[in-house]
Amino acid sequence: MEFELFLTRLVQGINNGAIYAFLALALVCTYRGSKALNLAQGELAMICTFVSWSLAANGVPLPLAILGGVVVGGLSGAAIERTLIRPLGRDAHYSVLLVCVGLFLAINALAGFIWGGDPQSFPAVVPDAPDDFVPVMGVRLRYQQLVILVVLLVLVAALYAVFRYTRFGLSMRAAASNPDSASLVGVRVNRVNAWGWVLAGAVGALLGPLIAPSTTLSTSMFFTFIIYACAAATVGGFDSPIGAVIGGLFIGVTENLVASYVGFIGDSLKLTVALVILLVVLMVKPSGLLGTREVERV
Amino acid sequence: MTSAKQRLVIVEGSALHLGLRIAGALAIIATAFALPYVLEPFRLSQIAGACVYAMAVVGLNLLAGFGGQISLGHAAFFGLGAYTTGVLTTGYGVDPALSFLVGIVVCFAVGVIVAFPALRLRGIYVALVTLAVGLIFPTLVIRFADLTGGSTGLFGVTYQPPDLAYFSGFNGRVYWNYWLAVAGLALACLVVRNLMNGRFGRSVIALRDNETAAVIMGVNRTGTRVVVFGTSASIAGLAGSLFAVSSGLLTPLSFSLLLTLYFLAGMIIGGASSFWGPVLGGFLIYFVPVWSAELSSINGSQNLAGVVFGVIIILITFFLRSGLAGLVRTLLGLVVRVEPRMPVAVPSAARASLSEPRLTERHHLSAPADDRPELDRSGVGSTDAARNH
Amino acid sequence: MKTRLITAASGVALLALVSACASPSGDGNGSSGGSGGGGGGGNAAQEAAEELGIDLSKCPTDITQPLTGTLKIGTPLALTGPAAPAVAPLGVAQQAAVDYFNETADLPVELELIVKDDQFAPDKTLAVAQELVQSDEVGVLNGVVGTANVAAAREVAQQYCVPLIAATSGGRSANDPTNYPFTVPWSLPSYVDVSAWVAHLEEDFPDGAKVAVYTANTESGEDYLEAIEELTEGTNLEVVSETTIEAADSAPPAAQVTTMKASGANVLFAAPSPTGQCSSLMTEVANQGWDLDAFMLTTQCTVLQLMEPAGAAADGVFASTYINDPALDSAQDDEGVQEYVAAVEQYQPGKPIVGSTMSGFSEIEVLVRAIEQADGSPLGASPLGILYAATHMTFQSKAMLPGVTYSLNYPQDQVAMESAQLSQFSDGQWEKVQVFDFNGETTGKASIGD
Repeated sequence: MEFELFLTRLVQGINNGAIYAFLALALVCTYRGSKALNLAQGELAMICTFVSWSLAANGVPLPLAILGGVVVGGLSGAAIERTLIRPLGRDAHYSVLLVCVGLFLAINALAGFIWGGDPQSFPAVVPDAPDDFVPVMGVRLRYQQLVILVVLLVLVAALYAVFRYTRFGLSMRAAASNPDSASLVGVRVNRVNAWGWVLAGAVGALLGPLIAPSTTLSTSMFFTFIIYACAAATVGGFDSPIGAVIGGLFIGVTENLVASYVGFIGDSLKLTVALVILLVVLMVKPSGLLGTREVERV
Repeated sequence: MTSAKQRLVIVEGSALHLGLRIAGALAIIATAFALPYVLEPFRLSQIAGACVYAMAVVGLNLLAGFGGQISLGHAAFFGLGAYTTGVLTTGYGVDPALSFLVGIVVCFAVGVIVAFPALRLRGIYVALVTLAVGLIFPTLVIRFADLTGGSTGLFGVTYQPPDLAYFSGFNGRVYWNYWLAVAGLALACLVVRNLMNGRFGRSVIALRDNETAAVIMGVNRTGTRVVVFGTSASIAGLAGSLFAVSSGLLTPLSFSLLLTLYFLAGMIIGGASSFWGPVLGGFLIYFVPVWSAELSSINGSQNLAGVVFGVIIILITFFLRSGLAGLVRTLLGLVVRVEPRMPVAVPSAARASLSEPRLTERHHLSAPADDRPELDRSGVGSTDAARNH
Repeated sequence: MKTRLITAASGVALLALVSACASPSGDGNGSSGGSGGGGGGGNAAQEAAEELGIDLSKCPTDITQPLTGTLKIGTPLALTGPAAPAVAPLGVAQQAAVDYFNETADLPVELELIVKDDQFAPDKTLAVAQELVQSDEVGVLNGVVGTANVAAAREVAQQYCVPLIAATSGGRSANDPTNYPFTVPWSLPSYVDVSAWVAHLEEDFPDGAKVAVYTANTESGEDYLEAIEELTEGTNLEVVSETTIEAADSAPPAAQVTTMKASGANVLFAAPSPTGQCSSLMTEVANQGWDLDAFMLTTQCTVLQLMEPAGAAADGVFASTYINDPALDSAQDDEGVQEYVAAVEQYQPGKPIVGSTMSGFSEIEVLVRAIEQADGSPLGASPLGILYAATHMTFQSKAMLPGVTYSLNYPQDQVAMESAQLSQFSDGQWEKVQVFDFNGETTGKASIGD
């Protein structure tokens, strides 16, 4: 019984961690290219999910509706990179961060303006009634949560392969580590960075419809997830997809176990646990578990 | 350097220059004294509220504008000051003025503690550290409810006006809070100005523009950054203390990430690393929502104020890189030109940038690193620093 | 918990002291210094003021003069910011109600509503309330939402002697008529909500039950937790598990439900934030297969938009309801609901007609009834008369469910909403179980008593 309870909590931690990891992947995609922390990533995912929802509500079959949202996400990513990020130039960390803050406020308000403040229910891609689960050692593995995990693993494998083994991935690494030399040898740095934003927008837009059935769809659905995603990406290393997944799962599991078994922490300091982990990692190993150590000039 | 033809030329340090500056200062002081007689009490309260926001923005500007280290956690320092005053005055009967001092010290200390991890980091990682600190604060307020009142909030924070005829009327408390806020803002501006106008200020700027060069030239990196962080935090903390006594009640929701974002927006809109830009920005972040809501009737109940706000931040980041302060300076520059007094043995090309950081047009925060002669400036900055050793 | 109460209480006392000290001599804003009893009410006014604990000589205006012409009503409300989408529609319903009652009610004054944005931030509520009173010269404040926001606005109400009618907060600390006689809260207090749960369970579970408690980490959630701990004491309902959720958390509360389920509880008391958290809790309980004997949900979650996303998982959930909902089958023949729908359709065409905004209509209705009653009383429709009427009346609002009344009789009865209809959710509808009426019993418990 005690063990079963522990297993249940472990699985719940993994479920939450998968969401953090998923969004962290999107952060990694933008960071790899533009070295930008896109704080508006969650809001972008949210508004794309609303687009999918509107499509589905107007009779478009759910998979197509989600695809529509993903396309919108990718295009918005490209548009943001081209019009708002690229002109600021490289190394403009703070300007980019501020643009993202502006985007955050604007997108959130825009979604509230269009779709209102009431939470909406979002249809699930697989059966999601209370008894739609696989029992394993007394733990309920729900179909919907398995889908999120599977999609996450497929995505990270694909991203890893792309970053590691394709010409595009090579250009991306070259562009990230030394943009000037990269462009000298013919890498189209801007285009590579733009693709990072496209990927990020699409990944976020895919995550929204997967979690919306359980979180409900609302303008505030990503407020805390984006913070967890930042923590996850930091733990894993901001430019490593695999790191992001490990970081996400680590934070999800740790906060859940700590909150459940350490009375002083309890439910109310869950987020604090993740933030403390973030701080500790930044103090001990800023590049994270699997991140590339940046060349420092001091 | 454009020619000075057809423009009024004022030589820095000349009688005219000095006179204009004194006149400006007198005008501000006169306005501050006149407002209570001219405005309705609620406007005065609003101005007090705006002054408090402006103070926090001035504090943030010291760190992020002059210092070049962005903070996504300044609402936490603001809140820490507010809760220090709130808890001490309502829970322990401490005199509010004393609680302000305690708040300043506490915020300075916490600022220094946060500065250390931030020291080793750069870019988005500094932002992440401060983000984490900013987000942890409200959760701790809720967690330690016995002390802080938790989510319900802390009611009844107040600062009794002194026993003067001026403050004895029906609106005495409004006047008192107004003067507290005005004095606080003036203090914050003076502190930042004095810090930045001396050798310390040059070290801060040098560190921001080219850390390596600055360190090589002997700038104490750790000491400088830590003092900047601590001072910035304690200014925000004092602003928070004043916020506590003027609003009378505190809830953790008041110190969310949103507030930090507003402070940042105020700094950018007003003009980062300018002296009075952040004051303007602080007033704008207070009054723009008030105006936009006044324009939108209830029939358009969900208005687009948030969208407009976000878009303004983006536009300013793009087109008004030195904010409104920079815009005004440019416009003024079309008619007036302040000519630095000719120093003895300095080559004329370096003159403008040498004299004072106040004259610096560009700043790290909003200008791209590669569009203008970065090396040139930091070179000047470091010679400057070196000269002082 | 006790320390906090004491802190809060001493804070309130301090405030009262200060506001008493800070309003002497009255250089005011140019208006006539108030001399008590100078107005039409004479002795009656003096007595009414004394009964409410108001010192007329400290008011900047003479609040005993009957109002004529236009009565401006001021409402600070979140029109921007994260809370706006949920809160702003209340203003639409208020406006519809103002137009409707101007037309249909026999009032000595013409009503005019002024809504200003407070972004749901208490410091802004304070500033906006000041602006409404000083610049727009509103005669009454109406419908401030949220405990902290009410706490901010009541300072202004107190200093300027402007009645704050139908302040919308269920929190105990918002209802403090001894120190803030100008503020009259309205809406179902969490204490009364929990009282109905406990009364129902005591009937249904004579042998006792094990209770798990799930509350949001918000002022409202804390209020519920306090009420639950207080009301279950001495009953055979045993609290075996307490969990919380952060206000902004949108992830399903899997860990909390697991903890509560593991505690062996068979009854759940739940007060999540009135957001997506309502449905995600119900869904999570169903998904984990937690077979509850009774699931009691806060009244704040009962509007259908918050229930619907839970689907079948919401079936069987109990909650106290007091405001009717036009989307309910049972409301179709209800005259009050029909009037509300007609009013919104006529004066605010195209605006959504939903349960969550109906309380805005009711807030204005409370004021209208108070003006009517004051007009017929010796005090007349003066600010004092309206305040006195609002604190001494009983009526059934058009927006409320049958059997649920607004009833106040200061100082004996300080809680306006003490009755609620316990309902059970079934097939997308709330179905009546029973009406609980605690009239006159919760003063000093749901309010800060002497």
